[in-house]
Amino acid sequence: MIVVNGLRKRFGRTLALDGMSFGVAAGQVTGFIGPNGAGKSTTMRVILGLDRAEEGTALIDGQAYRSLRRPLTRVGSLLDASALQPSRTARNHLRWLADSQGLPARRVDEVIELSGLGSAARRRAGGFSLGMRQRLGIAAALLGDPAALLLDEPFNGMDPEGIIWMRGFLRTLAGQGRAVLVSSHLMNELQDIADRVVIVGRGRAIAEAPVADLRRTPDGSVRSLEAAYLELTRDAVDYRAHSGEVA
Amino acid sequence: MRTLRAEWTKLRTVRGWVVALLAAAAAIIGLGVLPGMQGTCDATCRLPVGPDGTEVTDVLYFVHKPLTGDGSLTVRLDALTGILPSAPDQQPDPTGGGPQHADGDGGRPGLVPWAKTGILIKDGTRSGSSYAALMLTGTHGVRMQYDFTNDIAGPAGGGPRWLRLTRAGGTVTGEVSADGTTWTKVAGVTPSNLPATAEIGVFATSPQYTEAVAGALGLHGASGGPTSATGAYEQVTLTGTSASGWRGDQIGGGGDRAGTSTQDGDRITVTGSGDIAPAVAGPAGLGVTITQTLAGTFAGLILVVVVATMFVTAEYRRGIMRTTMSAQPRRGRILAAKAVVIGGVVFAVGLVAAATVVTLGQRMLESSGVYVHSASLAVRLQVIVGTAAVLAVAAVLALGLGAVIRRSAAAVTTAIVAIVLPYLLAMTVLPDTAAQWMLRITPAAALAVQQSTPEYAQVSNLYTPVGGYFPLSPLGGFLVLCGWTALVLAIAGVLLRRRDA
Amino acid sequence: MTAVLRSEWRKLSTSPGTPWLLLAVIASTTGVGALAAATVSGGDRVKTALTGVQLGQAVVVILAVLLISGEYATGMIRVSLAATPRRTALLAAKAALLTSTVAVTGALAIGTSLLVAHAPVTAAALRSVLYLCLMALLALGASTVVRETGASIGLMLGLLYLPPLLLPAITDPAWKRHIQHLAPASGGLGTLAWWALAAMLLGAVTLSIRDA
Repeated sequence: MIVVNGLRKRFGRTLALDGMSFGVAAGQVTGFIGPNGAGKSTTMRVILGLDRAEEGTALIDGQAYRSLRRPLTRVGSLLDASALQPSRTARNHLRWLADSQGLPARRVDEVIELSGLGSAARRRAGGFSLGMRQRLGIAAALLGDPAALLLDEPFNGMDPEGIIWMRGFLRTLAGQGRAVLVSSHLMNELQDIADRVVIVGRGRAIAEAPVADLRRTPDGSVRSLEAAYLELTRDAVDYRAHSGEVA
Repeated sequence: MRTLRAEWTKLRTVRGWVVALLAAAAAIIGLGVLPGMQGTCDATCRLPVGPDGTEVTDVLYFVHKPLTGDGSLTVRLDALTGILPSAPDQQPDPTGGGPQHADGDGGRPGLVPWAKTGILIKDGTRSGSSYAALMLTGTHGVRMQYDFTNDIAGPAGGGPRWLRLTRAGGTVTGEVSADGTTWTKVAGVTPSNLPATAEIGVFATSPQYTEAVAGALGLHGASGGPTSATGAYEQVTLTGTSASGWRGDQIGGGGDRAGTSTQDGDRITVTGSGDIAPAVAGPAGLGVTITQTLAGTFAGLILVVVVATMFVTAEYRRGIMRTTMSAQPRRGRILAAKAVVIGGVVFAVGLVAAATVVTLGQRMLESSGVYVHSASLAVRLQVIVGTAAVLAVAAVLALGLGAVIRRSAAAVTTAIVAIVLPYLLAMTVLPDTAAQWMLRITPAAALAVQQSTPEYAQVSNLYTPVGGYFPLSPLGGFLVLCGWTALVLAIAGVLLRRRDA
Repeated sequence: MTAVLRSEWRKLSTSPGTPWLLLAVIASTTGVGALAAATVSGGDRVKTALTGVQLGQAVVVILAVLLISGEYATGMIRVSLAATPRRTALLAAKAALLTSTVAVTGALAIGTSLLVAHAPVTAAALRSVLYLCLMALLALGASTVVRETGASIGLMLGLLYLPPLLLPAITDPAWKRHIQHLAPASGGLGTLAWWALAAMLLGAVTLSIRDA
């Protein structure tokens, strides 16, 4: 579905991506986990054609994102839930996005229902809580009914009810045969819903495996994903702030 | 104090803002020094200076003889007549440059307001030497003037009249009479430097005719040309120790505009062109003033206004304002700290830039042959400190607008339009009275601190903003800006307390 | 392309600031024009009536700058570019939309100004509308390069208002002429068109090669 191969990128003196390679398969939730500054957001931006990598490729079904004709019908994405004009209503935000893909207004109302925005859709998005913005972001990602979804930290700012909803929702999306890539720095959010995880540190993928395999210890017991993650990234923890990663 | 330090850290850690502030200084300096000015003046190209060091114009025709010690000259002025340029040029220079001279055809009869003829006692015939004079003017009646800058009004009205100038020691007294028997004293004055033997006689001079021309879009130009005045005297009677025979001399200037005189017994007719008065800049003057060298102030002003506005709007946009307000819940203090920091930094930057232009820039201009009007140390300090202060207060005004409006687009535009646009409109589009009002009531009034040449009532000139003359005094203009700033800050303070962060 | 255009139109028309800005263009142009017509007697009535363009263009600049810098300010530009990866198409759509909006608004503003001043509609009025359109494109291009709202507006207002203020400081007549001919506001429509074209090209290039 999505194949990332050998991405390399620097921001000034910081090496943001250093040979990032992994794949995202259809019908699965792929967890994309790693510490802040590991290169998760940068990778997503490169996949979406927003940032350019100096080396390597990121292809969607063999095509570069920037060559897609109606990209939102192929890949839906949520990078930053606050990236919207605060004085515009949620519904109008979705409508201009729908217009850009030639989608009818009917589709806007459908995703408003799907994401649970409901009547809030007619309010100014600037007044939304972060949780509500995340729902609006999900709605925008689903607008084109895409086969692949990229979601950057979608659990941020959600209340417990929202988190439970989101987990179920992501499973449903994968169950519909979509490829779902979800990034997070909180392991417990993903251990119950991800089929596979890609663990990143210092700009590259350290491990890429089914969750069940990672959680199994050498002596046969089951550990938490967090424990597995901590062991794998012990050497890769790197909190140096750099411009590429915003938490 | 801690809030102050926090704001200072915020300001200096945003690279774009630091670069913009440095660019503001560079713009002021660069535009003051660089714009390829080339003049034709060499080191000898200077205006004469009067006894007190003021730059003066001293161009006239003088029919004189030496007078040793005390004595007096009495004359009957038969008529004061003159010639004006034929017609005002209908095509002004839209750039507001120098006056256009009417073509040298015969001209039309008439007098400019400050055409002068009368009795003059002077320390020799050198330009800029000390003098005292009693004269009839075109429209300002009888005047007693001495040493260029001093002017005392006598009786108004024209027609034939008697004039008398008496020297007693260092004091020179002027008197007028309608019939030659009843005399009225105009004034007794003490010129700074009259020698024992001074030149006394009758003179005539007439300053350039200038007229503001408002073009179709109101673009100001000045039109005009040389004029001349003729005084016809009879019963010229000199008492005291003197040589015999009157001698006619052109003082200063000359060329094809040199004056003339005729004598017939005790009748003398004298014709002259020029002026005996302090020199002024502007359309009727020459060279540049230090005000003009500071034109880059506007470029600096725009940069400073952008930084100052964003110093507060950026915090609103990125939500940092909530952090700031939780760190210092007394919101008035935040605003005060921001104002002190941006005002202080901009003042320092402006001071360095203006001082560089006024000192270094002036030297560079002079070395490339551009005449820069001299200004006293006090005036230079006023211009330098004033420019820095205007930039600083304008920055605080912009900061206040940013706090009131909270959106950078609207705030930056409002700040620039409030300060720069009135000045621009006053300089280009508006008719003179509207322009004067603009520079009285808008924040642009503060640019009066850059006025470097004084305005003299006894010199005809277009005392317009274009020529570097402002309707308000430097301090008055600055206070107008301060008033606006205080108002905006007060509104911002109230809103900051009332509104949610 | 029609999809991008429709999408940009939706953005513009659903931003609550837009109608106010358009109203401000008309109000400031007409207001200053009427004031000028009332105070200045004689001369070219059409030119006097069009004095308001001096202020109106500042509002046009805000509109144009916000069209792109507003998206950078919120980060929405990434959403836009994810939806329309052909970046020049996005900029072209914004330009087309901006030009037509400014043309209609400018024509209204200038028409009202002339009406208020009892001046006839002449070619000068048409040129003023074109002037506003080109100024808007210049601002859009500059703002695409600069990205920051405040800085873009500072730059644009500097370009508009500084050259005439610098003229008095320059004694050399050749330099005076150069500045007058090369400044976007005073150099005539041809010069302004070059400015607008250069700014848009530079904007398109930087938008295409920079990371969003």
